[in-house]
Amino acid sequence: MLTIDDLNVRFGGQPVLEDVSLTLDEGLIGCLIGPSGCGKTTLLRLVAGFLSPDRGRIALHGDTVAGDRLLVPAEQRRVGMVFQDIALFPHLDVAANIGFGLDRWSAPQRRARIDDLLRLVGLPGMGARYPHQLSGGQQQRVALARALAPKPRLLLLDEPFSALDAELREQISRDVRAILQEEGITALFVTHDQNEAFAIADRVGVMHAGRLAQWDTPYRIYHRPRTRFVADFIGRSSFIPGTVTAEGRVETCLGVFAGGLPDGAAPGDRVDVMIRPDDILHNDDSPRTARVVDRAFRGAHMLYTLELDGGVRVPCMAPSHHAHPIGGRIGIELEMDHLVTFTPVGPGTP
Amino acid sequence: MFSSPALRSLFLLLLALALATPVLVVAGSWLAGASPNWGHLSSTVLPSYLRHSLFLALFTGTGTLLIGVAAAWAVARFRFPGRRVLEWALLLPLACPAYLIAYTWTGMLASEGALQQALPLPLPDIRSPAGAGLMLTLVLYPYVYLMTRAAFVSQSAVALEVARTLGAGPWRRFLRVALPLARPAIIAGLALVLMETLADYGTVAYFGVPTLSTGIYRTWFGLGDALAAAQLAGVLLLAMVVLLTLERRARRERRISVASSRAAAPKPLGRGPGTLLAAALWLPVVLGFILPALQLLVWSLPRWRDLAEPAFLRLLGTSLLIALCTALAATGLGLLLIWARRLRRDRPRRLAAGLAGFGYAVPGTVLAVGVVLVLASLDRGLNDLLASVGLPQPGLLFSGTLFAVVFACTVRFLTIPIQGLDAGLQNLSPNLDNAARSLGTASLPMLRRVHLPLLRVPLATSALLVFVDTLKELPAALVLRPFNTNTLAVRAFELASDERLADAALPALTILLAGVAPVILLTRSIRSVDQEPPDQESPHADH
Amino acid sequence: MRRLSVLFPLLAALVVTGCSSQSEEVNVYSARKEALIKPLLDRFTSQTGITVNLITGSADALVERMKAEGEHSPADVLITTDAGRLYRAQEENQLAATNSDTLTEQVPAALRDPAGHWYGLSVRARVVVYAPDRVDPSELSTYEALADEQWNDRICIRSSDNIYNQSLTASLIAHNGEADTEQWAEGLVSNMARDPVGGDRDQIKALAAGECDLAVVNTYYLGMMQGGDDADSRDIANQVAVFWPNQDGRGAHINISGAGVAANAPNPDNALRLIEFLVNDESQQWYAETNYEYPVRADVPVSDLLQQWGEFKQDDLPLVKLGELNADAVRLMDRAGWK
Repeated sequence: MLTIDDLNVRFGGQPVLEDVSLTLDEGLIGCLIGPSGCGKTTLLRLVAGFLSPDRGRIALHGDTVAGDRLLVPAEQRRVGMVFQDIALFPHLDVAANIGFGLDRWSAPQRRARIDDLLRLVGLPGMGARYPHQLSGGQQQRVALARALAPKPRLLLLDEPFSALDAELREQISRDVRAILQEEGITALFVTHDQNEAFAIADRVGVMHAGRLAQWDTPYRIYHRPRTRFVADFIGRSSFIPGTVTAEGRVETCLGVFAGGLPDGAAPGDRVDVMIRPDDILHNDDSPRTARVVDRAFRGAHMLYTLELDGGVRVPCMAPSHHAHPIGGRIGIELEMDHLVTFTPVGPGTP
Repeated sequence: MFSSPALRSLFLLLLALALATPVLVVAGSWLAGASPNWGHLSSTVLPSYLRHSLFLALFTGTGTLLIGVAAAWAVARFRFPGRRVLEWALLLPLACPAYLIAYTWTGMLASEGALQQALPLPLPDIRSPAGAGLMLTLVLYPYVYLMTRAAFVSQSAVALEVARTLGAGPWRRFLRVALPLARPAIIAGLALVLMETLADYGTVAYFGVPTLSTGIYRTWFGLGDALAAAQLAGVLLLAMVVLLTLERRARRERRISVASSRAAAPKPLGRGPGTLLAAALWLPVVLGFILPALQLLVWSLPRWRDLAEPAFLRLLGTSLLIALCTALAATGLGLLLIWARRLRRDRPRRLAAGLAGFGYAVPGTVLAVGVVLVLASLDRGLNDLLASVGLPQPGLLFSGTLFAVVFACTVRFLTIPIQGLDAGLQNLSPNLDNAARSLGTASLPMLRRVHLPLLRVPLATSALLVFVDTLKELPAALVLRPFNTNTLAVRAFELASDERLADAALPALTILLAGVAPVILLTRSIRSVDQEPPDQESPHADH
Repeated sequence: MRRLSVLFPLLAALVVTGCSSQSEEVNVYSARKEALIKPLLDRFTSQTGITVNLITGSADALVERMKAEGEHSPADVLITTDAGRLYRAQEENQLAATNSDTLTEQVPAALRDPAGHWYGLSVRARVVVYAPDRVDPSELSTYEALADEQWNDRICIRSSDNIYNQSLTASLIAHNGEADTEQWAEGLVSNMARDPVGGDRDQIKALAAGECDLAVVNTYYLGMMQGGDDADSRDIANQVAVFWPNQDGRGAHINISGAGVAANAPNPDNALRLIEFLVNDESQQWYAETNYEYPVRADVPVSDLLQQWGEFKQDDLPLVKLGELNADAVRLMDRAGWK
């Protein structure tokens, strides 16, 4: 299990990570996502041991590996890593690559483990091939096998599938999840593909400007974003204005709803209500209508951009077999199980 | 060894400083204040020195640029008869020191020489600034050729194909796409050429061209002013520093511009244009190597029995020993400095790797004197120290033995493995290191299991280049060699400068031949790099 | 790697100490090329049993090395090809004052240091050679006259980098003063048929080829060409004739190849023995016959070939002067534009 407490790192005077804390229980798969430069890769490298923190603590299974005036070098941490550029040793064949971390094992044991792993990643009998003879997907699997071979305490994956094409990516990410769960490996990976994150991870961490905005299950990240940034960054969202009523509910142009309010919100305050595409349903019978200003065909469904009276634009996901023209009006209905509100932002705030 | 990495960094920095002391001694001569002769120098001969040095630099720079780039382009992009041979034959002039070519051509063009006897017209006297420039161009263009060819060969086919779809014909493709992409490599090669040109002494002295390097000798020996000579050397050093910085910047750019996808296949040419091209490319090889080699052969034949003479064999053995020791020492030290910097990029290590490469910029004799001063002080200090504690004094351990020559040549040529290994390591993604470390490999095992196997080619080529350059090295061996030892270069120089060209032919030819073998090996190792599969670099940048 | 770099000096030390064997030896730092001095050294060894260890190099580089090596310098004898460098070595305190009756008797006073720091071993003169078909010897007289207008574009001479020209200029300064000599140098420069290029042999070849009508060269170069094995060189050399300048005045400019005992010599006795050997009959004859030089001893006959050139009057300017004025000479030549 991985514990990170109050991790801080500065590069050349600039803060790169600030007060990052998280816990990843054993056997779970965690995922860090965020925009470029948010610090997710830095965090990964800190856990691996390629960087040292200025402040804070990293512990694996309760053993401190960084912090408290202690710094365990990377080669002693037993933390495996799969890299974005795959980084297989070009001068070694597949078997030698996989067996690289097993140099202290006896030869028969090493052989057996390599064969097991080759089977595990779906490349049986390919031990004698060289990296340049493999496809991108195969190389990545070998990289995974190599990292898993010495039975690491934790596996880190740095955008492991970004070098592969989309279709392959989906397949292989599912396979990887299956492999990790079968081996019971605790893993933390970094990606900028949200769908990937949601498909594989048990825990998702959204990072922004060096801070961990939220560390939670995928469901809660999506449906209960804790900050506006998370709401904006994850999935599609838009905001409609609302007012806090005397009873502590929120009144909007689409109705009055009960739910979470930002801290210190008093009756009469304005709030922004987060709307997800799945919150607005298409209902021809509904008295409320909105004008279609844009639409995007997504195969099974159509993603409409609707303009409400009052000018606010919201997304709407509807089954695609009924295509409404741009400019037309459609009936809508708001089905919101969770009300998520935020303090309105001023015009200058990002 | 040392426990903390910071302590190790300090050690490396001190090592680099030790290697740089001869250079620092020369550079430090300016701290003594301008020599009284400086006024005389600047009002009489300094302008002439500067003018001629500049002329030579421009001439040689242009010449090597034209020949080197054209040859590299032709060999990388086209198929024509004899291409496979030409690929490595174009490197042959590297095997010959410039002054030997100068002596040989002078002999060939002299009134009693072979060529003049054969031709009815009087041949021009080659002993002029332009002649010196021509000699240097012939011997130095392989540097540009080597670097540029590597760049062209590794250039992505895609870039050129894109240019084609945008309507660019072959000439425009060359000028607007291939050339700019290869620019860092070209600049790197050119910088080496210019440094060698400015430092050359043998050729310009023989041809009577007053340059900064002959000026240094003259000020030292003629005026007897070692200080002024060192200060002139400082001026030369300044020019070298500029060139070196240019070269380093170019090398850094090279990393970014080398694409890693598939290389373009060479295009076959028709019979006619192909043969014409081949003939044109053979010209520099003929002028720069084949004709001089033949002439030396002709001169040596009457004396072929000398080859078996014990004196000659001793000469050969000494030269090879010095070259071998220097190659090992330089490559080993270069590997240490570059690899240590890869492990940990702190300031002392970066400084160490940077400092160690400066020896190249100092002309041979000046370096040699710097080395004498440094090693002799070391010896004196050691002897005094041992004397003060009552131990027997060993005499001159460092300055009086082959150590001095090896040390000087190592300092001078250290830049070759430093550049080569730096480039080699840059091709290896840092994630290879990280992967190894995450698999439990400590630094030294990582060197053995990952870096060394992947650096085989740059290690070999660096060692070979140092070997060849040391064989050719004259001033350092001249000044620093111990008793009763001689090298081929010194022997050839002494005889040739005594106008006994025919007697100089045998040692000269031996240098040539001894230098050819490594050149051929060099080519074969280059070819094996071409055939190696493209790197695993992904399109995404490293973090 | 670190182990190797410690190994070298150890190995090297072994080599050095191994070489410094039990037998007697003498260490020679020679500016004369090996071929021109080794036969004599070998003969010394076979006659005395003393091993000779030899390094050759440029005189100034050798002196710098001796200075740097200091009291541990193994140099016993310094041999140079001109007097100026011996003077400079003396000035740098690298030569020891020695006392040898043999040397004092046999080497003329003008050709050695009065205090015994160095001794001349052989003499060479810097003469004017001319093409008899183009120049009448009556037109020639002195070095100074070479600057006259009648020789415009007709003289070949090597570069001012060369020590022999520097010594010649120094001797002119000693006799005529700087101002006159500078004028002379300017005149000489304008009389040059071509920019200085090549060595003395090249000047002779150019003279024979018609590029110029006069050349200024050292006698032994001409001697080597005339007496050597190469038929072509002999032909060329036989096309020119020797003229001894300043015979009505002070005499022709001469220089010496000389030697001195090093200040920190570990084997000073052997060193002196070697120098004495080099002025004995056999050695002096060798200088005469094989090297085409003039023996420093008046009683040793010159070779037949040199006799053909006739007797000549030598400038008896103390050679110390050549060294003293060398730097001035170089500066003067720079100012005059002598390349």
